[in-house]
Amino acid sequence: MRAFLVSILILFSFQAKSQLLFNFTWKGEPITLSRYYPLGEKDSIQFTELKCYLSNIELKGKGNKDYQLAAAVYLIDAEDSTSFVLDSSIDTRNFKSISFTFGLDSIINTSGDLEGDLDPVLGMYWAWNTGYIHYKIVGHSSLVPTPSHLFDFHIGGYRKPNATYFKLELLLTGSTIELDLYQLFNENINLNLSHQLVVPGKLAFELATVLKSSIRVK
Amino acid sequence: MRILNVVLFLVFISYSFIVVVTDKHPFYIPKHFPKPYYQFKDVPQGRLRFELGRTLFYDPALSRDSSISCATCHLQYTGFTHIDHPVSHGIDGRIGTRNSPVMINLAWNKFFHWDGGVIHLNAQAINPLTHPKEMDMDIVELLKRLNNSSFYRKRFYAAFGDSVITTPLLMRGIANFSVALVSANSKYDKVILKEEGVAFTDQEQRGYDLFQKYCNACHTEPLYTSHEFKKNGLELDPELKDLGRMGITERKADSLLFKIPTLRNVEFSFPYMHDGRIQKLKEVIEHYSSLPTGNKNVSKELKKIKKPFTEEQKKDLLAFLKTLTDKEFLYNKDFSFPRGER
Repeated sequence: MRAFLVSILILFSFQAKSQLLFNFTWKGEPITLSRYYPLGEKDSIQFTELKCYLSNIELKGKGNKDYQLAAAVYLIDAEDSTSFVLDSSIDTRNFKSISFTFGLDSIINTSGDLEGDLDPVLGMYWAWNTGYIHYKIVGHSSLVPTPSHLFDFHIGGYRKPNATYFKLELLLTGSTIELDLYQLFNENINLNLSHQLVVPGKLAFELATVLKSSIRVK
Repeated sequence: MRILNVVLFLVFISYSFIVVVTDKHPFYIPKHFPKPYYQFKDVPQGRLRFELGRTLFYDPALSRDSSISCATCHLQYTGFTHIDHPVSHGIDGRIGTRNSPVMINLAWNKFFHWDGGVIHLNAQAINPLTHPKEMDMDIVELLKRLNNSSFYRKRFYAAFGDSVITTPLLMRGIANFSVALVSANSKYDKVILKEEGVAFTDQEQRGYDLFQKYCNACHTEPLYTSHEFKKNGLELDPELKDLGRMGITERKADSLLFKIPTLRNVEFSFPYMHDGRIQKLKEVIEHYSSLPTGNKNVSKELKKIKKPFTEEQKKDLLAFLKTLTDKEFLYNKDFSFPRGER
């Protein structure tokens, strides 16, 4: 009887769809908002707000027809869940690769469409400079030398040469797209010296480039 | 007699009915204007939408502490700007860094704000609504406030067929008012359209000729702006440190470039320039007349003014600029505070 149940379970686990997910991670582990993570030898970091845009997502290959996700724009918000389900209707194992825009391209940025995930109430719209924050990373760290220890990175901008969106194509070796923030805070940002960025420009482009290289499929 | 009363009553009733039915959105394209830049297909216009936008425009409930409305800094009789103050003040008397711009013929604008940071009229209002030095309102909070008001729920339903007020609907509502602010009935317009009995005086005509020679490249008629960004010879204000267009494009070449404003109704939209540093129109003419040659903060168009204008020429220019005043616009009852709505 037990053997039968186990075989049924195995059968089901093989047949269950492999949903397309997105996670913010820290050294490969999904980040839980407000939890403290060690940073360096004696400091810590806590994220309170993590958001990013993905757009024009398409799955390709293995003889299947290419599959375009229902919405043109997805705002990933770590507040909703540690694992964000991008699409539950397909099985990622039937596809070879995924292509998408990390961030929003200049067309979406300037469309003037304020609907759905582009609604300014979601806190990603720049009212003074038409366009969107592509990646929002907010939290606290003992490294930030202010009384609140707050850091606040609003990374965006679509104008060349400092455009912060990237067209990516990755092999679907797994079903989860991960954006790991460990490298950004260990190697690229010294929170002791810089803890706020709220405008487009060269620095935004540099940080976005690090974020781009911190994406992997698992 | 009684029959006559009944007939008169019926005529009155049908007349009011006709008025309601035929009452259209007040936007129109003047005969001598180019095609508007605004994409009307995105926002179908309608009188109820216009009226809703007008109500929102004049409602202080759109600011954090319900103290100021859009109209606080955009007064109709000055061409929808804030006069007297070099830079505008918002909530709690907080002082901004710029002179509030006029709201005239916005359907022809490609860019909004002095630095052109906003490129959609439909989304423009988010900036003053949320700016901490202007209305300092949280959009989420504002939507809650509007959705809690049966007055606004009914108005949005009547205008858009939806009583749930969202950001896009709110923005379209406001844009339906601002797009309607067409000014094209100045003396200049009447002269251009050859209206009977209207002509420039000799002085105005001399001013117009001078204007076409020296000013029209940037303040291009009939809109009186080419919608470009230029350096106009003003030095950087060391306190405001406003670099203008460069703040948006991040390009050094765009440092101190500001949007060319329309000159329509310029007689009443004082003070002048992006930071309101010039009080009087004749001083603006003086500024352009006496720009030192070799000033690096001057666009090539201004270098055409090789020698200062004579006193006579300055008076002629001033007289011409006053022909751009459109009293029908400045006192148009359609655009004024909507009385007796609530």
